[in-house]
Amino acid sequence: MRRSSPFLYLALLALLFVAGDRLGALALGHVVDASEFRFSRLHRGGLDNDILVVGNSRAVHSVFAPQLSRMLDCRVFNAAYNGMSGEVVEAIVKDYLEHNKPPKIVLIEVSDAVDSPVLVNELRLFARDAGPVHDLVRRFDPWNDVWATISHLYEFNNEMTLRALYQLHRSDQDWIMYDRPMTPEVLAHIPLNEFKNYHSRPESVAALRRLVSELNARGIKPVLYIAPFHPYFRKLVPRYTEWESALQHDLGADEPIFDMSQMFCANENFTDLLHVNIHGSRLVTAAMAERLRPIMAKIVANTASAAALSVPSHADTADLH
Amino acid sequence: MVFTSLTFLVFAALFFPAFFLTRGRLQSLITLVASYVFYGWWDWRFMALLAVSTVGDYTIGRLLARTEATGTRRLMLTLSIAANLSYLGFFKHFNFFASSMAALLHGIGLEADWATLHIVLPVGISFYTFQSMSYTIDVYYRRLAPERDFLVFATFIALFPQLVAGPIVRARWLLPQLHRTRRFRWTNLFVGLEMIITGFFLKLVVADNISPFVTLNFQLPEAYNSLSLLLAVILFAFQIYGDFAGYSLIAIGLARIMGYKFPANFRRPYFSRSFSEFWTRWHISLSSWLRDYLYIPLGGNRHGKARTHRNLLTTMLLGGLWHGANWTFIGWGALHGCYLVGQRLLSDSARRAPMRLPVPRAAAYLLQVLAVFTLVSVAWVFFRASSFSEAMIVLRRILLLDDWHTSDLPLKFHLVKALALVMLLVAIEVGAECSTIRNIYFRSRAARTGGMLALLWLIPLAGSFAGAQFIYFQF
Repeated sequence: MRRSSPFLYLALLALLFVAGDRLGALALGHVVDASEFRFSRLHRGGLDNDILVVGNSRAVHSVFAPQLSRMLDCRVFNAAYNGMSGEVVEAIVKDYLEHNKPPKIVLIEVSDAVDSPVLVNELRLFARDAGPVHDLVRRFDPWNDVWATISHLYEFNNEMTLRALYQLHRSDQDWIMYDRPMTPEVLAHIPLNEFKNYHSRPESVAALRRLVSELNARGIKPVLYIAPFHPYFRKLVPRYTEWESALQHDLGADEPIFDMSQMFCANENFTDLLHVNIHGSRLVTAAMAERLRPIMAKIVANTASAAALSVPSHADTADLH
Repeated sequence: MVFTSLTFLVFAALFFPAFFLTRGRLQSLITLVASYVFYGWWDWRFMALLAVSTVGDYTIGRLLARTEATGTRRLMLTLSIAANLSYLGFFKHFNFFASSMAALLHGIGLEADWATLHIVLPVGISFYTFQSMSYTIDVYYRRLAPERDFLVFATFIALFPQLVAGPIVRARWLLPQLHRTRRFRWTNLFVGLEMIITGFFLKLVVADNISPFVTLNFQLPEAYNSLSLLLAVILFAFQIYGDFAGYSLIAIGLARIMGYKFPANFRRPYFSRSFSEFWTRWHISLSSWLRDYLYIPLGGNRHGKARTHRNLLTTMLLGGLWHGANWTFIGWGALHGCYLVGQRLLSDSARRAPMRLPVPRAAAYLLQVLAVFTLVSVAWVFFRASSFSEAMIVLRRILLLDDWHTSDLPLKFHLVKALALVMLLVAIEVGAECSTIRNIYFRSRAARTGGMLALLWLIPLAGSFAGAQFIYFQF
């Protein structure tokens, strides 16, 4: 360190850092891309699902994809993730449509109330290629490109990398809250001002509206819903009714929101004030299946008639010959 | 300005060239101005308090040099100590004492409408007041010649690497270094960078990754099971170590680049086999300050067992109160005081009992280390909890051993990552604790380069860049 030229040593150190950083990132990139984690699969492409579920953690835990799939006899893919705001939902659905076959229905949980699109930090893992996710990360985290230029390993510094490693060989579509139910003891200790600022950001709502319009334009049916809240939550949120009415007004104009927020109130169905557990999820998924069954039937019927119209009849083909 | 911020990066890029391009008093002046800018970045009003403290103790130092009369000298010293303690008392402890007194009076049926003030706590006040006090005490006892040069003295108090959260560097150590012009040395740069990188690893990678799990558990301990709370308590021991030792290393490394040598502030404290050893390895600059300026003047261990125990308890209680105006800190200090007294009460043979057990020496060593770590972690519960009752809830729920289901653990991915990083830290510390490995590592350029590169890769890969403050900034 001291005998050779210090400049040479510093240059060598920098070179070794960059080489190790790039090699490490390359190896991690291959592992993440090959994972069975939901966003790895979505980004890798080739999915063919009838129903796509998006939204924040309330969507992750409220719609149990395997159960819904069984009940409706169709393919369901849950692409929801903790802290997913409207802007992220929009980017993820667009990313899905770019890489995969379009679904028939996109199920969107709309009660997002995060102060900023926090998930953007996580999504840089899938922002390595150009596309909707890359644009979103660039918009909300303009420094990301700078950091990612200095260190490629930085792109893997998030929970999604850990999840991708954990889900390397098994699907995460059964991700659900198995936790014990809510207890009066826990309820008693929740601070009264815990949700005093609960609100939906206008930017997030606007992104959802844009998405709904785009889906309608593409012939994909958007279904909006609000997952159940624990009854105590509704007491803690000031002007809860106004918040819900505003959501209905802003989003429900084109697509009425399926409101399940007061579907049940027993502690045993919740793991906390915002999330249902496995018992609550079963009830929500069953109700959702009932809601979607006629919609699916209608879509299938329309698709069949459209196919019948577009396929030339025997007589027509005979004429052609 | 925080060491882990981009602002500090810009600050350092401007400061270091200016520092090394100047000589003599101009170098001191640049350091002083930069230190005040660094400090004023939080709140410019804090600079006034720092300046008042500096002018006060400089003047008292000069006055002490001019008089030989014992009475006058004692008065000067009392003035200095009273002034420094009054800054601390007002900014840090006023509301605590006012509300505690009101609660006490309420308990005996008297109602007192004490005014609590909205006081903004000046960052680092506990550190620089102690540093300043040590100067006047040393001058009073003639262990140190009073500083003539105000510029040097002001730089000693405000030197930015150690201003906000230590280490508390004694005047005897630092003043002579501040008198000499510092020139750029490659050796200092490399050694300093090594310390800074290790400090960033401890703070950004270890401490800040542990923080979310610990915070969640301590926010609502009723909601989490025994296993979760136990893990939170163990992890907090590593969080506070990573946070504070990380800060200290960055501070010492920055000073080293400038050419100043600071004493070490941490020496792998969780390998201590006794509580007295723990306090020679944890926050060494504070524990040695308390020993030299409080415990020994109180009589130390020179006047029998009872007085020694009283002195130990008093020192640790005041050490707890130094951290903050809260019963939790007093509880933490009291517990450590009790540990030290308990250790003294145990006879030498009882203390060495683990070494006589029919188990390998390493196992006996491990047993002692684990015992000390466990009790230190219990004390950390009081340090971390926001109230005494919250600390008791955490401890009670752990002791209940009611639920050990891993499925109920919150933030599982954070937890796994935190545990993996703690294991990595422990592995590094075990290597550093073993003198053979340590010697091989520090003598091999390739090993040191490899070590630094590994930490440099870990920082972007696993570091937390959420801008978390250093825990000790609140003190």
